[in-house]
Amino acid sequence: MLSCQHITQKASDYIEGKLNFWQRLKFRAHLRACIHCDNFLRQLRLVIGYSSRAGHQCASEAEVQQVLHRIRQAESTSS
Amino acid sequence: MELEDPDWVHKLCAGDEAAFAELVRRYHPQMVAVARGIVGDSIADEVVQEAWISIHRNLSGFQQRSSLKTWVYTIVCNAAKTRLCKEHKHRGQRDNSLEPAGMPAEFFDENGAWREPPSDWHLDTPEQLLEESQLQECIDKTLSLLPEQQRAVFTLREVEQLDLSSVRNKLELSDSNVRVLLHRARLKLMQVINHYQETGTC
Repeated sequence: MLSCQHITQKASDYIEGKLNFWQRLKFRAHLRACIHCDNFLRQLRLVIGYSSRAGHQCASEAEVQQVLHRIRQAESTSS
Repeated sequence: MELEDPDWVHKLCAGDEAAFAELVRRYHPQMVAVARGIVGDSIADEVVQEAWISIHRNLSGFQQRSSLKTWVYTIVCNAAKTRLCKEHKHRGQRDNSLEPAGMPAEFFDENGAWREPPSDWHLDTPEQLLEESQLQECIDKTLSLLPEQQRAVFTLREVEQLDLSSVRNKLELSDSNVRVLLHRARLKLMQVINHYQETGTC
């Protein structure tokens, strides 16, 4: 049987579908028996759902203008 | 935010400057994070600028065989790899250990069972977490401190939702490397969120 520590190491592989059939079976058997690991996995899924949105950053107006300015410079040099 | 609306993409490819500025606003910070994962911090900004020039020049020929997002990241990753080759530079800060990433050992007893099980979270939906502006600051800070490759993998997989094989190809990492780096980044964020849930601070 997998230990709780193994579960925390393999949790992303489980979520990403990267475990083989037997590994998945053992992983699920552990989750059914262990409320803490079930909780851990639920929290990891929540982290993924949250950070996909919280991790996105937009450029500031100054950064946008700097990029556009350098494009104009490069294009005027090459033409 | 997705910028894949066909009408908008059509405008962009036809040379609409406002649409292009929107593209830059949406992708620039993520592109810098990805470029850092390939060339390191010192020349990432330059590489991304070169990529923007190339994107601007080639937009009119964008065939939409792939999504705009995939096309943009292909250009920046290729620009970074070309630059790396030209300068015979070593890649940025490496984080190549394949040691399994898990919670710290002190959380477990000698049999690998929880000594300190995860505590219950009172904010338990992404929407509830997104309402916490202080948590967002904690996340921004944590992301800025991630090793460059971890951040690059996190950006492509988590933020941009590219599949793992695409992330691996773009960053020229092994499959197991990508998985370990991604898991490490997730666990770091999990610890930050856990601390925030317990204390209300970073």
